[in-house]
Amino acid sequence: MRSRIYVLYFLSLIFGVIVLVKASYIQLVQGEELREKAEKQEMRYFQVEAVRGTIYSADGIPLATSVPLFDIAMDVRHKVVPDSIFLSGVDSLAYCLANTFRDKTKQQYKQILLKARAKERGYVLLQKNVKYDVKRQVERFPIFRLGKNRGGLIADKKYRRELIYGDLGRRTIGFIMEDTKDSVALGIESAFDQDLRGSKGLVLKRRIAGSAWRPVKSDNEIEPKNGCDVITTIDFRMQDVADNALRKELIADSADYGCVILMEVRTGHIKAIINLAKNKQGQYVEGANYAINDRAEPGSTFKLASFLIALEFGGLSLHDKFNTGNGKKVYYRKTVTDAHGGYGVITAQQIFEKSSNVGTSEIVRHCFLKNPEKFTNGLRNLFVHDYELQIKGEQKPFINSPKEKRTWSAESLHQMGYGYETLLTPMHMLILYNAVANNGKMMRPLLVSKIRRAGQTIKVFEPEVINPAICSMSTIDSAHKLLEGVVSNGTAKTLFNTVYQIAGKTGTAKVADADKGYDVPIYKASFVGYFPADNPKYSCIVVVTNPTKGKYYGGAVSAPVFKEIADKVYAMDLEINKRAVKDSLRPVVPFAPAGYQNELTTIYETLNFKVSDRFPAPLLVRSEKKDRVVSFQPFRFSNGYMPDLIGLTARDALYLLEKMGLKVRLSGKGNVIKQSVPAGTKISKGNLVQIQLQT
Amino acid sequence: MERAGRTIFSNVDWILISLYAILVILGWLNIYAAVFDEQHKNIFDITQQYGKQMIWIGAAVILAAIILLIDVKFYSAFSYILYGLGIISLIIVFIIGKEISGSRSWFQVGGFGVQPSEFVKFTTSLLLARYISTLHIDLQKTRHLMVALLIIFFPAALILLQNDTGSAIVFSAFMLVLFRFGMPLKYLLIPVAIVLLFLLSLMVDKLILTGIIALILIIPVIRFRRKISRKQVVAAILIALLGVGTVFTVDFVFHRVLEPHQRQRMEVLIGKETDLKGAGYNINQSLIAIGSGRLTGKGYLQGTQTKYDFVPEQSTDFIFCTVGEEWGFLGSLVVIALFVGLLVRIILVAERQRSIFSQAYGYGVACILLFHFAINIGMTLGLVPVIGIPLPFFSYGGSSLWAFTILLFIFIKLDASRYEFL
Repeated sequence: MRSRIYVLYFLSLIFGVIVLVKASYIQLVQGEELREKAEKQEMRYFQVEAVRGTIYSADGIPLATSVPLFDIAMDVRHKVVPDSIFLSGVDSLAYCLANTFRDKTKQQYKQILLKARAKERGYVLLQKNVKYDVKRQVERFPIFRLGKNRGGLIADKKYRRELIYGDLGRRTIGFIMEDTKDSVALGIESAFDQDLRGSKGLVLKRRIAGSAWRPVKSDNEIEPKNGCDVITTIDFRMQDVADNALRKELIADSADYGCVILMEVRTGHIKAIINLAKNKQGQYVEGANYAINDRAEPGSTFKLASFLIALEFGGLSLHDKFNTGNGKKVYYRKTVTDAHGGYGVITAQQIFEKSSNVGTSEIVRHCFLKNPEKFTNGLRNLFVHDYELQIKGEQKPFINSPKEKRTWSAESLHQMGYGYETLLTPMHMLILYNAVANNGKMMRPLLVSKIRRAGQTIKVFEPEVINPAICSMSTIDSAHKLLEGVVSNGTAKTLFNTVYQIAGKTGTAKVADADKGYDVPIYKASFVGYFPADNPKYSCIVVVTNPTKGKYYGGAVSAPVFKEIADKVYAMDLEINKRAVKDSLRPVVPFAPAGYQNELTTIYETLNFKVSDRFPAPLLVRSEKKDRVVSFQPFRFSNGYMPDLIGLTARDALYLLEKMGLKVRLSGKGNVIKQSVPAGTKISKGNLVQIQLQT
Repeated sequence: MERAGRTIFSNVDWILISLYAILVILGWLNIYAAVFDEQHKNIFDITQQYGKQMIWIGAAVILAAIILLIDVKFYSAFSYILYGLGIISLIIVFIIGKEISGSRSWFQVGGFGVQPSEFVKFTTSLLLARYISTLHIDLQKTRHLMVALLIIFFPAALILLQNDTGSAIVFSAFMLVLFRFGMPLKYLLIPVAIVLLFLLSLMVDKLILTGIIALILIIPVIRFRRKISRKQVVAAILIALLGVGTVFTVDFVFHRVLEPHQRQRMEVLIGKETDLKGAGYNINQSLIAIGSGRLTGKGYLQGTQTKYDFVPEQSTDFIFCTVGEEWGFLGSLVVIALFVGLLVRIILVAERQRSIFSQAYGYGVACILLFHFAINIGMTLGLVPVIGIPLPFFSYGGSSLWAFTILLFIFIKLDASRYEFL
């Protein structure tokens, strides 16, 4: 029995020794290895997202930009938020959350928080995709206002791409959806992705608390490089005008879809590009990019090409007369018909103006029956080029030819004359009309004019000539006469007006329905032309597919859209109107303290004040007036320095500062009268700036 | 004995008090290091665990003084009542208790929780000592032994029902006390053998194990068949059947009786489960923290594995990780030496008692502390499965600190009054 005394001594010592041996093994033998493991899990590289560049309109309005959004969550663990704070604040916090987000009741929010706390959860998601101003509100909620360490608020920042003007031009501006399984990439966003994307940075961080990491210095650190801005050729106001005009007509005709392209004649800059299609709910939204990919038989608008070739190579003169008979003529097995038939013997000019299919067939047969290839080669030279459009999805043109054994027939020649057996997109057609407007010089269509990084232009896309002369100058002159004649005497008389002249051509193509073929034809009503006819500035094409409310002629459906666009663009274009706005009264210079340079210029120039010192780069300027001359001071927002905000609207100031990564606190309403950080002060991301506003 | 001028400290064992004080203060400093953050640097900040622990320590000192002040006869006289109160509190906690991480074993009193199972350890110790010290009680007699086992395992069963398996297992440490005071060896060996067999059957094929048991028992029976009695042969066969029975009920117990987390912890220990993100996470992180301290440690407050939450429960069950990480092997050595020193001192002091009551109580204290020490540190070092019991005097928490303080200081009081017992 005595020996049992020693059992406990023995056990105490033996456990002591076992524990010590194991500790020495872990700490002395494996220590090195385990310390490495420890360091590995304490340090981690984090990716720093680069902010994607903004896509601007030519007039400096952001079309697509990345806005910061926050996922609001809470760390409800006891060691983060002590009971004394949590229990007294949870009711009012739940109340505030319910009031702000309005998706759950106060009781529901409270339940969520209490349940998560019982489970010691480090991350309870409360709301996704919260905007910056709402996040600022949330930060002032009870409990949360105690800061990150004791309030438990987690606000994870991310960026979401936002089309600032919604659907407007969405298909051309494009979008990228990487998070879906099949990534969708379209338009400018896709084509200029490399520029817009920027490059992600890397930063080494050390864990400093449960889920908090602090950056540490490291040689391998990579600064994120924010994406470049892409400046498009699109004019926001023209885009808006075009969208309105087309939408109105599509609704009136209950058409399937339609598109508009507006191009600047001399540069090939696309000022507006709109594609609208009826969705299942009967609304018109940006669908496919019909302007560049809807390849179809163009119909009568093609006659311009036929006439150009006939004038250039077929010895045609506008005064040559042809017999159109009673508007019906049988060639081989097929009858060619004129819509309003029976013009008898008329000149080539009249054939074009009245858009006579019989007459055009006669002309083409007269000039090229013996050598059809001369005709088709001429056409191919006109249309088949590598346009290198700046966005993807463009369709190549097709022009039939005797060499195409499978498609060429005896009827092909005259059918092609009035726009069949060819496949062209609206863009192809517009490029030709634009070349005619530009006195034969064919321009490459441009959607993007510049790429900028941090306000500095790093790449310019200069206007590019595809073909310096598509034909002789005398042919161009004839073409001008033909197109002007259509408006003054022909199928587009409705476009005639006294202020400025439009030149163009109607087209009504009967195209095969995808399912039913030519038996149940659908119509493509188009109008393409340019204005002002005497000194062309813009060319434009309007195509409406399958209007179903009775009218289907290009002159009735598309020409009015063209006219509305032309009228408004003409009115807003200062260069065209320079002569018209001379004003001798010289009133006092109205003072606009600050704003977008282009908007201010518009105002001042419209009122005929002299604007000096225009700046190429800065978007925001402050105006100063001396006598009757207005001069602009650029807003200096070189990175890292506080800009002068005085006079800006709240929206502009907020946009500017948040773009620089600053935190903003606003008070009052109206324009900025006071800023807490003086202009020119060095700043860094995350600084707080208070702004006082006053009307 | 001179009675004049007596203070509460007369005759107390200063070595025990010093060891206690050193462990408590080291514990507090390590809690500070384990949950230290830049925001709350003040060790006296009572919104933080270390600030609260300071209050618990202050209260523990008062408790210790009260214990030394109370007349020593109280402890044996009231042992039944204290034990009864303990049992009642264990029952009440079922009704009004608060569930914390799966165990309904806490009373919510104001802002903090009290865990009655911690206090039942000393009431059980007292009653057990009282029972053992009763005249004519002989633990070799099965009837008396059964009463003693009932005293031990009745509260343990209640605690087990509260889902606090760790605290319940602690009560098996009292078996050593019974052994010291006369319980036959077989009652100690059989449970130990069953536990070992249980673990072995998880690792080794059952048929092989059955063969080994048979060989161990049958070979001597055949070899010495002339020298052994029929009775011994029957005993050997019974033991063999019990062993084989254990082996084949393991699967049932393992899969049906144990909770999934308990199963996983055992699998981690025997190396079957190596999922470092799941069940093996705790122990893997614990090893990394301790190992990364190497010989001399990272320095006080420099430990990053514990402080930054890589190690779970770093201020309570896994507090030893902070010692290992910040003080290295040398620190571990000191802490382990302090604990072994405390245990040896308690046994020494127990052995010098004249009364069986004091002696038995002292053994109870030593066994409880040894069990906690071995299981807790063994767990952080990956030697035993993860069983959530605190490291005495070190781990954060008022209940456990007070319970251990009461446990130890009643013994110190009993020892200080050893000459009063006759």
